[in-house]
Amino acid sequence: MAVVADRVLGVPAERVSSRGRGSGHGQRRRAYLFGLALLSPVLLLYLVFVMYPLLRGLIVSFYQWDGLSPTMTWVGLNNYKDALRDPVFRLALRNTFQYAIGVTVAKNVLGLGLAILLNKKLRLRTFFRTAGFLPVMFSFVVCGVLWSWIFNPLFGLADHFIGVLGLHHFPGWLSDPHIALWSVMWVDVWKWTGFHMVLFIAALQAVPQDLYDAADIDGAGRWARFRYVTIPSIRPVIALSVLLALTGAFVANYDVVYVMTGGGPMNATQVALTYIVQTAFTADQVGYANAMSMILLVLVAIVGAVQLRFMLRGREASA
Amino acid sequence: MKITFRSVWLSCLLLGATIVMVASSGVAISTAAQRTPLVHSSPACQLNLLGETRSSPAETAAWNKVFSDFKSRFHCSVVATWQGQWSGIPQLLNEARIAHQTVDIVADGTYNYSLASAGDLMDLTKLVAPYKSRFPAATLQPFTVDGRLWAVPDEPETFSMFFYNVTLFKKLDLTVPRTFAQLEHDAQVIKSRTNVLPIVEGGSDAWEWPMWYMATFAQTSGNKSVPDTIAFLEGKQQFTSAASVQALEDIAQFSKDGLLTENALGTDENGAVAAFVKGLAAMMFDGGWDLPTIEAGQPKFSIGVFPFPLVVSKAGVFVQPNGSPSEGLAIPSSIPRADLPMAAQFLEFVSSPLEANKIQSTLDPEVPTITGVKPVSDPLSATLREYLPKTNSWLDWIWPADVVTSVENAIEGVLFSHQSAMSAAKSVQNELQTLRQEQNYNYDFWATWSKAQRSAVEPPFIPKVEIQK
Repeated sequence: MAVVADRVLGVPAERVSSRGRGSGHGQRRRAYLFGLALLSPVLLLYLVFVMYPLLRGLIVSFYQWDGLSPTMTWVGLNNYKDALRDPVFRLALRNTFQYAIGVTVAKNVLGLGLAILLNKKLRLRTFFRTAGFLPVMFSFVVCGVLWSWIFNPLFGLADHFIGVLGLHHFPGWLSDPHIALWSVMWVDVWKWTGFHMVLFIAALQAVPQDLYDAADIDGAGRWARFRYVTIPSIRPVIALSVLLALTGAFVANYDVVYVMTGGGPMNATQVALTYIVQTAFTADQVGYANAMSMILLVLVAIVGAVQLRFMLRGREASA
Repeated sequence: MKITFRSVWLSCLLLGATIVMVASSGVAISTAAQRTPLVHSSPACQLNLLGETRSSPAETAAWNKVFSDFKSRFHCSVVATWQGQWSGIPQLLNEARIAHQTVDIVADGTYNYSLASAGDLMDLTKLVAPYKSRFPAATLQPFTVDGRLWAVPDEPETFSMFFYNVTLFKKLDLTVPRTFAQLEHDAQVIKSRTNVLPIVEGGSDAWEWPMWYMATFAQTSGNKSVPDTIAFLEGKQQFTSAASVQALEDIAQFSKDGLLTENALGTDENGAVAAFVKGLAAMMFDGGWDLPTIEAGQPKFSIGVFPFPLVVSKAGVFVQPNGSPSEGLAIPSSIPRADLPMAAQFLEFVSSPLEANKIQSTLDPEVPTITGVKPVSDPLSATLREYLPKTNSWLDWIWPADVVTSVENAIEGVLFSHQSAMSAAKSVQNELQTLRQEQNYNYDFWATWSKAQRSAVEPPFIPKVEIQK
């Protein structure tokens, strides 16, 4: 709990206890209970809606079960063995990581670029900011359907635009297995870049002008100002933005893939979530789907832990 | 803030109250779920129907009229959830069950066998017996497994077929193709003399592709595709058989000869229909269910249909379209027992000629599935009715869901040269093998079911239904 107090509240545990009447073990215990009581509603919801389903999922993953029968057959680790041998699941995992890392990089790079551009005094700046943010308001289903038609090879705008440019090689946006996943990832990037742009604009506006003035006196060029002033100043927002993008990309890619390609062609856009849902609800293999979910959970937890460690280290270094 | 003993107690009290509140709501949810059957035995009778989105506002209106008539006659309202495509029905049904939402009737088709073999449907054999004669035997066949009936048709028969632009064919002086060579010739003429795509396919809807395999396999198997498929599912034949591999190679020929391009994977069914209606494509291979949509698009040309051409030149082999009623109505095995009498009555009511006519008339029934329903009489009807005696059941109605997905991927791979026909066939064979080993799949599920499993899908009693004229 002390560690939690240190990390979450940013206040050493001893200081929390020393504020109370008197000192000693009893006082610390009461402070602990009070903190726990304040957290309890959220903890309870967390236990009921996150931990219980997680535990239940873990148990089910050791059974063969269609999701409906009253009886389940114990199969031990077989579902896990089968999942690790399943070439479609392995492909789906690879696609999931490609998707998550790709869109995280693209959204943040584009978002920062747009933020820098729209932080300058430009004509129609407000219009461009609004236009950039607008896709965030659309649901993934709307975006998916919209872009499916834009990418349509028969009457889509994308091919029409390429034709206008005088090019006659039309990529199979959603039909070429080598391109389809990138097309779907682009829709995610298009939808969320505006959100990251807004985060970065807010961060950029908070960077003190004095720092840039000092850098100018030191003879810093544009790149040096960006590298040594802007980036360190907005580092916490970059970390937050990357965290939001990464976690979102891992858990919120189902809708867009389902709507645009359904995982095809030839599983080229199959991500772990679409495959898990398909396995659970269409193939009625709920135990197997749960085993795949657990594997995904472990992998995402590892990525999350690495990122958290990286962020904490960054914070300690800057402190 | 001072942390006093009193504040700790207050917090504990708050925590206790929260626990009690959440726990009691949980109890309430669970009790509500357990009591669900009783809700429907109340005077406010209600049946819940789940099905895919209706094909037109006219069809939705017709269903609403039937619901209204049913309510007037039996004092029971029907609440329909028309949602998504047919391919999403198993998922929606399972989600509804997990969420303890009652589904009394489900409109299904392709997944009828999958749902029945998973124990999701009720055996309707005895329930439907009093009015079974309404349905021509062939229309019940796709819903029958091991002599047990799992659904009754509510929509007309539809078949796989090529739609074509008659006006363009006449302008280019083309004949309706009967063989693959003729089709190839027509396609080359269209490509060389117009900017129109020879064939459009909504292949991003992966379920379109098995129709191609069914058409070619019907011929390569010597018109034994259904028994051969059952033999494959029973483990007596391999998907890597010469006939099956040849069927895949025959499909691949369509792309090798430029009749289909990989763009087909970037267009869904709606996109393909739109392209055909706009005159951007000369031909489209799909199901008869698209005919009302195509006609509603008011194309500026006449529409014609022809069956999949002959790809095999062996004597005695003939073209066989695949088809069945587009949809059937089933009763989920999870139906609250109190709802069963009214659900059984609804099936009887909706399949009575008077009511069925209201629904099927909005679907241009070339071949109705209920005796007494009036077929449409247009120039296409005669052609379509010619197909009926030779029609095969859809194979994806009997393949398990995993095999369907595997076949879809195999065809996409073969068609666009990402894998050989043999390698694709092996992947399907392996999928079935995996399903057998890992999930104990068995085609003849009834024979392997325990007594408890059987009784779970058999009606606990046979309610008396009033037969409509």
